[in-house]
Amino acid sequence: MNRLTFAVHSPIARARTGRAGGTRPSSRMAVLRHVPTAAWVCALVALLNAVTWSLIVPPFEGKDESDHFAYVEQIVENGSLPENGQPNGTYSLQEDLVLEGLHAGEVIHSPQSTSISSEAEQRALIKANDAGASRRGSGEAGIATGEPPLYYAIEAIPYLLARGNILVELQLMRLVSAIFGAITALCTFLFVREILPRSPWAATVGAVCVALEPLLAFMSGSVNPDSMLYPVTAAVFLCLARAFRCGLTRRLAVLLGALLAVGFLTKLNFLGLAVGVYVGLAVLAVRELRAKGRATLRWPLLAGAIGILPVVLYALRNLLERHHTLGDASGAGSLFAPGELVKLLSYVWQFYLPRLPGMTHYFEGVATYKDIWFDRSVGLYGWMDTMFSPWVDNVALIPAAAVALLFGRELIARRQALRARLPELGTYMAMVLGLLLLIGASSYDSDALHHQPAFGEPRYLLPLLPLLGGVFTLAVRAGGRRWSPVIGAALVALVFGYDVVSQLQVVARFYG
Amino acid sequence: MEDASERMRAVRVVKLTLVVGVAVLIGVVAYTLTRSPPRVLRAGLTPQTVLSPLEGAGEACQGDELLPAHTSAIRLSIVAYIGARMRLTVYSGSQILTEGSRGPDWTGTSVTVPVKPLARTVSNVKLCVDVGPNSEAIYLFGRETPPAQALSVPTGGRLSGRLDVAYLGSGKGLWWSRVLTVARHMGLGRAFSGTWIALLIAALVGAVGVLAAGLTLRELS
Repeated sequence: MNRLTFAVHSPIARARTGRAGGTRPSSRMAVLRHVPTAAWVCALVALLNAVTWSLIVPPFEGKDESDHFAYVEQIVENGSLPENGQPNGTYSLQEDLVLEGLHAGEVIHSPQSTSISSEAEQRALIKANDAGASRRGSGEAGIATGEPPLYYAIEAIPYLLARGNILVELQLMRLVSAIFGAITALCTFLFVREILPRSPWAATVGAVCVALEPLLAFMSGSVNPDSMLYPVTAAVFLCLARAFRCGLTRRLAVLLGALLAVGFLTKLNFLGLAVGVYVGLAVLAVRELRAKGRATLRWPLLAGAIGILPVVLYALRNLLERHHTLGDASGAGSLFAPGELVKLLSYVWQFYLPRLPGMTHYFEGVATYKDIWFDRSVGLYGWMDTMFSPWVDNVALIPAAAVALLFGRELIARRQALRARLPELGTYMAMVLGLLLLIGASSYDSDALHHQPAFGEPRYLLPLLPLLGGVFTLAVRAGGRRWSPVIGAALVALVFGYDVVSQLQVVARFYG
Repeated sequence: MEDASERMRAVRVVKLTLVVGVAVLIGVVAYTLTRSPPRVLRAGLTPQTVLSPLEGAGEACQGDELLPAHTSAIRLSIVAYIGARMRLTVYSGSQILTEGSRGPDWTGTSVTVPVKPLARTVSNVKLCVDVGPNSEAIYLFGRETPPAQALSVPTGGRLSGRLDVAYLGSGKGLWWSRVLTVARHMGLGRAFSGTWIALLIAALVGAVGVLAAGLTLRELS
């Protein structure tokens, strides 16, 4: 697509034309028709990639997949949410039988144990799958119990389509997650083109790299609410970018508010991102107030009100039923008490960055930024039991550093333009910090206060993938006219290779 | 005119870079297929119990071990969410036979430490595990045994049993010779079984690569 074509089809151009002419797309289909073909292809890449991963990873070997499956089973079979409050809940007998047939207990967390490998084991599995045992568990869903229900309610559709056959139910549910992966790539494409409209090719490269990202494909190829959190957040990024470029219209405010509501109903981690979104709405409100007066304040308020609605309803329901007002999140307030706050901030700092002098040692002997966040980002699949050898992590530092240097170079070169967009960038930074703080605080509560594991999993950071798309785009652009094509093509080849090698690593672990 | 030739040059460069990238990928995969998968030369006890939650750095040694010839890595049943630096030393009497170390970049129910292989099998060796500083508890898994056979600590005490240790080396066949076996294996464990699943996966990977490369080129031209 050349620049002229892009100018016609770009979402920005459309919005501008629409405003100038006072016209709006008459229907959702019209909006979809204006999405560039390249964005659909990018989504298709992510979809096929996630489907591939859904076929590679054996059933229930996605992270916490048995718990997430049990949640959906609870909704469909018992018609209620999994919140019995029993400390040691059990799965349904039928799910237990299938897990036994898969030898899940021996395979999960044990990289030395492969998945079932003989025809006899396969026959035993099919027999267990067809046993027709009870589908009612104790009313719990393990670690998924406290999560909001929207993702699981959506996954009830494929469950019902294949009801009676757990293995088919699970595969269909994984395909729904794969669709979420495709939407993530689509929104990332549109977001990157929205924020960097003068570099359409570089933006395409950035979005393709995100679509090929193996951790995204792994998560989107398994049953996990994270897979829905990613597209919701990517869509939020897109709406904010559009709002900062074209102003917050009524339609955009309703959409952003709805996305906020969906985010709250998808996964608790969205709370961290939502803080940044509300900062963005405040910034937009101030900007609109200065430019157009008080009347325009209603749209940021509308977005915020729609977004907070599920939280208010949830709190009301809890009050009526005499539960903690904010459910599992109610205890979080004590973390921010004056005595605890300094410790919390010190922990969160060290969770991501090198310890500063005077700070209590929370991660002795571990360089968290490298040993946890970088190395695990390079590869951490299955139930955290499939990683690359340490030398691969070290080699991966080279391309990562190259991308970081190119990105930094471009930022410095375009510092004037950056300055003009500080409110927008500040909003994205607030979302990043909100998410990092939420993960860090949850980890502090678990690790430092209750001596349970820390929460150091890179999948928690994948809602920030649209920003990674932006980083790739700027890295490509840093090459200028001469080197950009080489850098862009090399990045696509590199990330595709990384994806394939990750798949082979998982194949070797489960089937080798 | 200049713009068109510039674009054509860019398309050529992108094509060339993508071809080189795919060639390198094929080379890496082909090289990997000529290597042998790791094989358990000697399995340990099936872990049944937590021997000790280890808080902070510490060392423990286990006697009466058999170090098989050509052991290139030793796998220990040590559970941690955030790992710690590990140093392994294998002694015959007071002589160090082999040693190895691993950074704290591991997680899960076992840690594999690479060691320098020996050409011969040595019996009655002592295996010492030195766990580096850590802030989270690290759990040693194994089986309870009489105190005389259990892991010993430098203070002279004993833990409640023996650590599960597996000795790994290179397998006999190459990955290449196992391709069909792996493909058949991939077809198991689902409602629909068959080697065609491996072929479908290969086709999907190919489609992803073609679409990604095609999109990159199309958008440029």
